[in-house]
Amino acid sequence: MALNVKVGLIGLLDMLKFANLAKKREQYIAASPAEEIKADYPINNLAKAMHPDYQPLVIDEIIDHAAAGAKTFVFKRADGQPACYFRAGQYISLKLPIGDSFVTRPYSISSSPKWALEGKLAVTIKTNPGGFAADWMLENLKVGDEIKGTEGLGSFYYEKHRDQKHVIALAGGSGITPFLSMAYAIRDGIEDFNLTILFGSRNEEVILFKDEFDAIMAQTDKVKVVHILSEEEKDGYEKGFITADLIKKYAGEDPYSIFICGPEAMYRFVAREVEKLGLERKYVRQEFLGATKTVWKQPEYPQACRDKVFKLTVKQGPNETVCDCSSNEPILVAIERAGIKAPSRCRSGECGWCRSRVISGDVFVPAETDGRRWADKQCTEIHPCASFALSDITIVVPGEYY
Amino acid sequence: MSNSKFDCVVIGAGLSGMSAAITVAQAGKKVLLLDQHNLPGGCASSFVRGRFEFDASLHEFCGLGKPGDWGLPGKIMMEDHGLDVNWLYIPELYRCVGTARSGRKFDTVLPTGEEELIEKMEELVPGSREPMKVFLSLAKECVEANDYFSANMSTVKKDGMLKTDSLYFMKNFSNFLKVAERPFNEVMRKIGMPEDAIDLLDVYWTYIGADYEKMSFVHQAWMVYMYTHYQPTINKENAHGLSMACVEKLRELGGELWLNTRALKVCADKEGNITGVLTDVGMVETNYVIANVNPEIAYNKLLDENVKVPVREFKRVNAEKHGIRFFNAYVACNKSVEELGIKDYTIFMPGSLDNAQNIKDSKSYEDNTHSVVVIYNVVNPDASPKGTCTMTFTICYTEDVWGDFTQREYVHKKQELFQKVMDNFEKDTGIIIHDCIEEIELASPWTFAHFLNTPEGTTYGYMVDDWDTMLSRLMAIRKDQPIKGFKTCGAAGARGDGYNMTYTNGWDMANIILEEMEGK
Repeated sequence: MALNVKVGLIGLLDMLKFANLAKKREQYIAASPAEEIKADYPINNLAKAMHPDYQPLVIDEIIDHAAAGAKTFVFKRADGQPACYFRAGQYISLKLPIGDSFVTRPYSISSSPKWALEGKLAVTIKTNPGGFAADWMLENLKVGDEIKGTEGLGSFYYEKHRDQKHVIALAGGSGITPFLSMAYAIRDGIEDFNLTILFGSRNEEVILFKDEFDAIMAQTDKVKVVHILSEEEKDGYEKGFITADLIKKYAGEDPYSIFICGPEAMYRFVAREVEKLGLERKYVRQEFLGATKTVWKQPEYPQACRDKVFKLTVKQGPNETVCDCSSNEPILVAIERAGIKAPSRCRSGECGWCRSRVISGDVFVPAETDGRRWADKQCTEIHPCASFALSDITIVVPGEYY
Repeated sequence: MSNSKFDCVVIGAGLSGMSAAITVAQAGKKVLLLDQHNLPGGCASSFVRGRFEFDASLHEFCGLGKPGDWGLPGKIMMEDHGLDVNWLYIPELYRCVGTARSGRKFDTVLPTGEEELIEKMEELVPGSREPMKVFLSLAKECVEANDYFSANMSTVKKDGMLKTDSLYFMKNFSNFLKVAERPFNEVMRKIGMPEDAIDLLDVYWTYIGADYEKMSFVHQAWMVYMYTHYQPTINKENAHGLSMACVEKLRELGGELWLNTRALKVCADKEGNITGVLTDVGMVETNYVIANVNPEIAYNKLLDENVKVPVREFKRVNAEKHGIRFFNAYVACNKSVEELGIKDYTIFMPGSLDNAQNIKDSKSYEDNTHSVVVIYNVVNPDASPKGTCTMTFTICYTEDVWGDFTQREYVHKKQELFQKVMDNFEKDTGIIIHDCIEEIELASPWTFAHFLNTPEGTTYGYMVDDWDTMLSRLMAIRKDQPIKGFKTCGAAGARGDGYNMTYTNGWDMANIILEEMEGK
């Protein structure tokens, strides 16, 4: 197609206008203020307040739930600022210097978002025999201790454009904490949805937050808690485990979303029950807060690699460290054991904060916690918190400098 | 740290920074690329929610071209840099649903291809065939003149401005000289374009946020022509895949990338010569720094006080107005585009096609529901798992209207706005999504201020204005930024915003640094 049109409609003088372009810009610049540039913008300051590198926290109070083997740590900001606002259900990642190691642990926030505006934030930590960080915290932390923590993270919260207005929460043990926060948020008028919590405990004595939930239920009819006891039969409680039938019993007529949070064994049992309900995938959400502890049970895991110890070479900036790496534990754990400060947050493959590059060697990434970006899977980027060594490996780990 | 001397350090691994790093590395220099985040890309990034991956920004290239017929960005990326990426071409400009100033309601799809577009416009607005021919001819000349200009940017006049061969321009681009710097709508009227047709072509506003009664013809004409001729283009690997392709190329060339590493200071000796970059991991020695950073941040926060920033630079930066910023809703549906009845990749839903009204609304939270949605699966079936689709809704603001909200009301404000946007979308298109949203993330200028740390969370650098057009900036590209060994690049650079522009600007600034290295 010929598009050779000549335009004669605009005068020749316009050519001069073009020639004067540079001059016009120079004049405009010359007429502008010469003062020093201020790079200080309110919205950037707001963003920084809401998403700081970390929150300096100080333990203000420790509440002992002795029967349940748990403690609630109530934090204030060490710098006197209000705690970062968050969405009920989110977790914070605590940075813990334990011995020669720098480890992180994600804990769901158990307090109301309203508390954050008043400067307070709480997490509840349950004993984990044989574990590392939880028991260290329960034994060692005292009022006045300072700890660094992140802002509220993750997307385990009620979102009205995504979830049904009726949420059925399936909780086990300390997995109750995000739902306590949600219940507070509903009571405080911050969230607006109906929350039915099916909470599994061994017996009545070890139930976490029974009084707190009773008080919330007295204040709002949008929250309902059903306690299920696995080892005790008692009036007013369900006996057994969280099953599909039990969910149906308390679901009522309205459509619902299911939120699951609890230890791995509980999660695996409950997930199979939920499957029987035939819900659309979008109506089932879960919070892992940790990679699998039995990687050899994962589909496609090469069994010959189980119980091996491989050599891990970690390159970080100009430094190189060689250490042992158990095939049964996430690579991040080996990095932390070696005393290397490495970034991490969710520890379940999801957030990508620990994203690192494998230079040589093979790794296994369980599909259920493979939160990597598509292109990272094509390259050799991994999330060490949810990746397991299958051979000697060398990886480049980004720094963690603040 | 030992042995950390580099020929050039690039601060910020946005597309522009990566382009600059690759360009310098290709010249055989030892390059270090730093980024404060744990992944490269800046805006050209993605994030994962559940089984979905979302592009953080609209990864659409304008004027990329095809093998054998590359536009400038395509030539740099594919021929010069040799990136390993695969391109998908979008067969339509856009679908647009809205009411023109005349009161006429439109719901139409504009095709790509010059002839197809001309015929479609004539069908929609009788009498626009001839003006459309003139318009596209003028636009083509603008593109050619711009390409010629871009290829001849090395000769500088005494006043610091680029030397343009006036005779060559007058001989070959005389129409360009006449119309280039006229306001877009004024030129359209002069060539007899019907007002309804002007409204339909001004729909790109959401991507630019400018006043078409003031903005230069060349900017919009360049964009419309490039989209029409070359088709809008996305890469199959998504935005993070594009960034990883850049990183792989840089590594192949021997360049280094340090992630999670902040540049704290660009250091200089007493005479103001650049000596290195102070980072989280210590001092890195270098005499040449390219910062993929807004000039305000660069001059205010990064540059050593020993470097005397000329008064004209302060004036230049103070003269600039921040560009537009966005609200984005990233939505994944558990139904396919076929099930939902979606056929179009880009749907503009401005409500009103009145540019002046839209600009007014863009300064307000309440009034601004002028949105555009892109639905990736229409062009890239692999954008999300089978039986699902992902889409991004965008609203642009010309001023900071999000900075006054409190933390407590913030989430609610985002949700409330998305509700309006979704209601309009469902009403305008008949496509129902509210009951099949599996994942959703809402981002505002707060979010972008957090991740990008740009002034006010802007993503588009500086506003193109009538005194500050792409061409007038390019003419001054060697006069602006006079500090030897220190340049900034990115969306606030000479070419303005957009993936294609920032990538090209990184290449521009790297070439200038390379010349400085050679003592020119």
